[in-house]
Amino acid sequence: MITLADLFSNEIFLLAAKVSLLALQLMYAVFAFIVLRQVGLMHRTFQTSFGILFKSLALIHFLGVVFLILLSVFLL
Amino acid sequence: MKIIYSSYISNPKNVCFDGEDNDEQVLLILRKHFITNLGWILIALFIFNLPEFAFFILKLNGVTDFSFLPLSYRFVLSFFWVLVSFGFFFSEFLTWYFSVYIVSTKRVVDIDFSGFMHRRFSEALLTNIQDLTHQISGVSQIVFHYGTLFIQTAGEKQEIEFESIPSPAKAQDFISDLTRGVKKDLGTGNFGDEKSVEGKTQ
Repeated sequence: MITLADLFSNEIFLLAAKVSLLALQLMYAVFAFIVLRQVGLMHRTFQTSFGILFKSLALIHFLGVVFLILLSVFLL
Repeated sequence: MKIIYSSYISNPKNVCFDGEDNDEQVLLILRKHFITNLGWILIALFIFNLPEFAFFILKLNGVTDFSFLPLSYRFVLSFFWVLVSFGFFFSEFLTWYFSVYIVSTKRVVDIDFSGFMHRRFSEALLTNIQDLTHQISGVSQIVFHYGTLFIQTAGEKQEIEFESIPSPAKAQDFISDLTRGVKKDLGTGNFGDEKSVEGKTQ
């Protein structure tokens, strides 16, 4: 019987896991970019004093995803 | 600070909207009642805690040692999950925060960002408002005192709806008084009197 430990010591399985994880992260990066653009549109439509805070959070969120993708490429 | 959590804001400061005139002033901002966010807040909490549930189920099935998962994978997966949870919470909050109903000295505006990738901007001049009706129905709306205000207009778009707003009767009264005042200033006003009601129902 194959255990989880066996699976994670298999090179092919690890490569497949890495590629799948990167594909998920790339899809999420697209979502994070849409959020970033949408926050800009929202702020133009209705401006409040918290608009800059939301734009900054959206940018940090997007940069976080980009950092994670780079981290995954080099770390996994 | 009140603007970040409140759903009924009178005379807001440092607020403006797309297309606002220089001589126009925002008098009232309304949003959906905060209780309407309960669904996505519970989903966000569930998503955030999903790994805990997964570990719990694995433990129930006899998997107690997670050392088989390389440390790098554990770190990347945890980081990714935190970002996904935050992303869901953030996008849902922004949809609620920026979907507002505005009453200004000249018009009523409905800005709708439903579904996060959709924007609808409807407006009606105060002088075009013909009839106001509010509706409170259902257990949740009665308990938390919120409902929908229907604004009938003479414009191309016949009706603007202020959905799930707190104190709809108070908002109706405010817009009604404002409209009457504006129409009186223009010398066209008979808003809300018996004649206009009869004229509409016949």
